Amino acid sequence: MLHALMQTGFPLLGLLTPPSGAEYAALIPGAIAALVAMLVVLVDTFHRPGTRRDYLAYISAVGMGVVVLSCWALWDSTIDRPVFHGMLYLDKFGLFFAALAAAAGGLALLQVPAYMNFQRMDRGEFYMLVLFSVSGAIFMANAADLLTVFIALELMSIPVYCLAGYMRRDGRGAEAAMKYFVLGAFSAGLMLYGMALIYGVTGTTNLEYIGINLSRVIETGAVETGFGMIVLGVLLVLSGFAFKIAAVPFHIWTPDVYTGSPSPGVGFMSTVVKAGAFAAMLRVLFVAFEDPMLRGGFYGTGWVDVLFFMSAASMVLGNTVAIMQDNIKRMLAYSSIAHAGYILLGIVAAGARPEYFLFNDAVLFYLASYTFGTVGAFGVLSYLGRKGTTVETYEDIAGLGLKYPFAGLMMGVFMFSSAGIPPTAGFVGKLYIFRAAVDVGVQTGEFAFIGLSVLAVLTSVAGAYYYLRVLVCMYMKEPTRDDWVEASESKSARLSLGICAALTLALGILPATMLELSREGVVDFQGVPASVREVQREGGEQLKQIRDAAERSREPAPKGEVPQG
Amino acid sequence: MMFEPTLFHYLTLAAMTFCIGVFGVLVRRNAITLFMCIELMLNSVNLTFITFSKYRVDMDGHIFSFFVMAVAAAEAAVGLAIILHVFRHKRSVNVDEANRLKL
Repeated sequence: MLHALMQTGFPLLGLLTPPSGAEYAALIPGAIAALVAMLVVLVDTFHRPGTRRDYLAYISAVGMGVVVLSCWALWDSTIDRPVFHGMLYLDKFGLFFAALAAAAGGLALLQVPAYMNFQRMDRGEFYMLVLFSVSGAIFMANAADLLTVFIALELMSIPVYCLAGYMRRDGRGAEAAMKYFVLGAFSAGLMLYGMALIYGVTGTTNLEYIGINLSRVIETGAVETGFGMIVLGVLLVLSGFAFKIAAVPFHIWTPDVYTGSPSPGVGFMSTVVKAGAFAAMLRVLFVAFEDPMLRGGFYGTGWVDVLFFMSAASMVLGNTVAIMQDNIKRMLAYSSIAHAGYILLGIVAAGARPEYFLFNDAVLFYLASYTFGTVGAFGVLSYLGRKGTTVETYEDIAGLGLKYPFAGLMMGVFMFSSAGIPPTAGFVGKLYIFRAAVDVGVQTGEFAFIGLSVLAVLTSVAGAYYYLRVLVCMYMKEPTRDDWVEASESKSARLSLGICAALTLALGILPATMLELSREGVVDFQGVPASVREVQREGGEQLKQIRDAAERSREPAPKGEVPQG
Repeated sequence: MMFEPTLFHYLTLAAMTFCIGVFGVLVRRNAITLFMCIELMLNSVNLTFITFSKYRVDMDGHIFSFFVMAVAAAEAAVGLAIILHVFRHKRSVNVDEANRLKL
């Protein structure tokens, strides 16, 4: 009975050998982020009262730039096995997310001086909290063990709970922090119980060995006794991730927390926390829960089906409720729920069968495009303001597009990207996600996938309404209160908005580089079972050729030649 | 015959404690009580980990439970500060009164 379950031993992980020198490279991006956080605290103690803290934003941004550079430097020296006795990976997938988290963190921090000077809350702690959270997100993307996943998750979340309550004179901040904290700790508890059950069935916390042992348990027919525990464990771990990515039905906290938190902090928590959680989720799903029994889809009921319904519900609820909002931050909160639904659609498509694993590159690309658009959109809300007040409602921004052309232009780019209108990153991201879903639907003959992508297209059309409403308010309405809102003089905020907009447009017009990076990220995703590794080895080139051919066919035919057929 | 607790008993105890914690979070309205219920959940997780660890003669579960304790302590520090912060604004820690942000 349960004994048979417990007999599935696993080889020891070479516990007595110290990690080799090359393995320490896996720590570099996360460690730099943590060191920059400490440096910021240290520098802030020497701050001269009465002066501005813009330099902290620049220090943090430069530090985050160093993290991105370190990822670039490590890009070709990845290791094809877990390091530190199976605790971390050093692969391109992890480095992709590390660079993304660092870039988003740095860009969000550059917007902080503008917001905090309007609010008279210029303090050094904000930078430290964000930087530690970035470090947590980086370790989460590199995690190879449930223990690392859990610790990195908490390292990422606990600073963000503080961030939510940062505006301490505003009662709404306190409320947001409490809601986020109570629900966050609750979901962490659920996830931990799931991890305990998985550990009980498999006898290990290492993701790869969990994958191997779960398959063995399911094969040997010990399923009768252990299957309940496995199913409960998988569902509880999934619910923990679903909370962090704000997917329906674990989204309740999102609008309240986003409304009560400071705008640059929301830009951060809606992108980096989501990216870190998605990265760890992909690791856990495709490394530990990769067994066809657990995967489900066409074999039965598994996590693919669970995510399928979460995706559909998130897209529909996020997009419809966002239409009814009067507060832009709440609208963006619901839209972030909808975006989580689109990303889940990509994971569902890639998870349907082991051979579709490489479709995950659409997920990576979408996360990158979503990140820069969202950090930028919240950046515009931080950039506009007036002493002691924030810019939140449609009424607040009425007529500002013509008064402050820079803010209006930037908002235009970010809203176009979020709505998925070319030539912005959001369009290409949606295109690849929907194409992956349709491809899987056509190849497998499973029309539910095509149905879901049709739903995704329809809901994103609904989404265009509320994104464009922001622009209508900014350009076509008269200001309701004269001289109510002004634009910040902060250069760093303008720099951050400029970089976000440039990246959003660059990913939309020339997506090839980022697509190539996301493709390499999924091809060099370590820890997957042998069948998927085969696909990675062969499919990497294949996928590239298919995409290249598609790119070529889109180019106009040369003049003077009549296209044949 | 002496009663000898087995794996089943420990796991049932842990599952019951966990369910009491979840139930408490769902029905109680005092933020401090909510927080206690969350701690109860984490402790039942620890009990589960240690039971499996003992049963399998494997140290991973013990190590995991140490980390859970350390993280729970960090969470408690932040959580109690947040509850204090709410109390300053509202003069109450009842979560029903935290309703300025509407759904």
